[in-house]
Amino acid sequence: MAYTPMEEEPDFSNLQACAATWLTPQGYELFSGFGNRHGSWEATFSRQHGNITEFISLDLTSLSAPPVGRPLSYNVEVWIDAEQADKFCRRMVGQLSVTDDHLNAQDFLQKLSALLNTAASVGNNLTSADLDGTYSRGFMRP
Amino acid sequence: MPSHFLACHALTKCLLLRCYLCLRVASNFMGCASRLAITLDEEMLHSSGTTIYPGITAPSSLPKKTGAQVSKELGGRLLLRYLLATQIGIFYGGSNKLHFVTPTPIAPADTVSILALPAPGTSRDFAMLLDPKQIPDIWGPRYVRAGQGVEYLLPSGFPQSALVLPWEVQIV
Repeated sequence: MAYTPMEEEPDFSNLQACAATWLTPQGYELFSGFGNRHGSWEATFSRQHGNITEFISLDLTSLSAPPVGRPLSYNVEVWIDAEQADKFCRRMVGQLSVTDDHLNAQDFLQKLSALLNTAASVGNNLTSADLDGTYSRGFMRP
Repeated sequence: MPSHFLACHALTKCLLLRCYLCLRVASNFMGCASRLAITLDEEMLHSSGTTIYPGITAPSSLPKKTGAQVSKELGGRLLLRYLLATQIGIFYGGSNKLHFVTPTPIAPADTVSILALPAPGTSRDFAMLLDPKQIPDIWGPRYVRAGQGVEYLLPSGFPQSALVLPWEVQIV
């Protein structure tokens, strides 16, 4: 079913395709295409690395109100998170800023490619000892 | 068994006091009300026979449900889609993109950590209230990966008719 949004919704399909091109050789596959996670557009790639499941996320967040007559600017973040059973970790790898009329520009894509490569390198070095978070689920019943 | 539970068990044989102490200690990990709200939502979903899938479950592997089914498993409650103040009004007409939503009311100070959100320096002080009955396709629920909450996915977005109020709610 198609709806008619009030605002024109962004199309990040080229960005997602570029990220897939860079991350696939490192063993990552698309986990979730671009969707809106409570204010940020996010696409996620995942891979199994030994006993650890790793995820690299590419996020774009507009931190300013929609401008009139100027391009919309995005804060771009690359995150890596990983988990094994009830342990997990989550780290930001780096940030960029870009305007929506510059999303397909070569200089931006080169910087983004470098950031995603850094994320994959971080993933290569992750071990169980780095998973410093613990999921807490439900009540602890006596 | 978690160490805080063992400590509470050692402190008293009173069942009610043990539960109270356990909750008090567990709630120190994040805002008490937010943690408790998540736990109550887990209990509610489990009691209706609903499975909450692990956060590493791919969207395509989640159960596909109608909005009416999700409304029933939530006991008629609404879904929340948090947003930044600068994004107010953008989705008044609905959206046809993938959106992530949660049934849990979360304090703005906890939203980023519980939902494992990007832009961590920016709190989500507003939320849209969505009626699941008005949304044809809903996937989930699953736990938030690298976070603590529960989420559903709206793979085809949501129609304008799903907005319960014609404006966002400020969380105070």
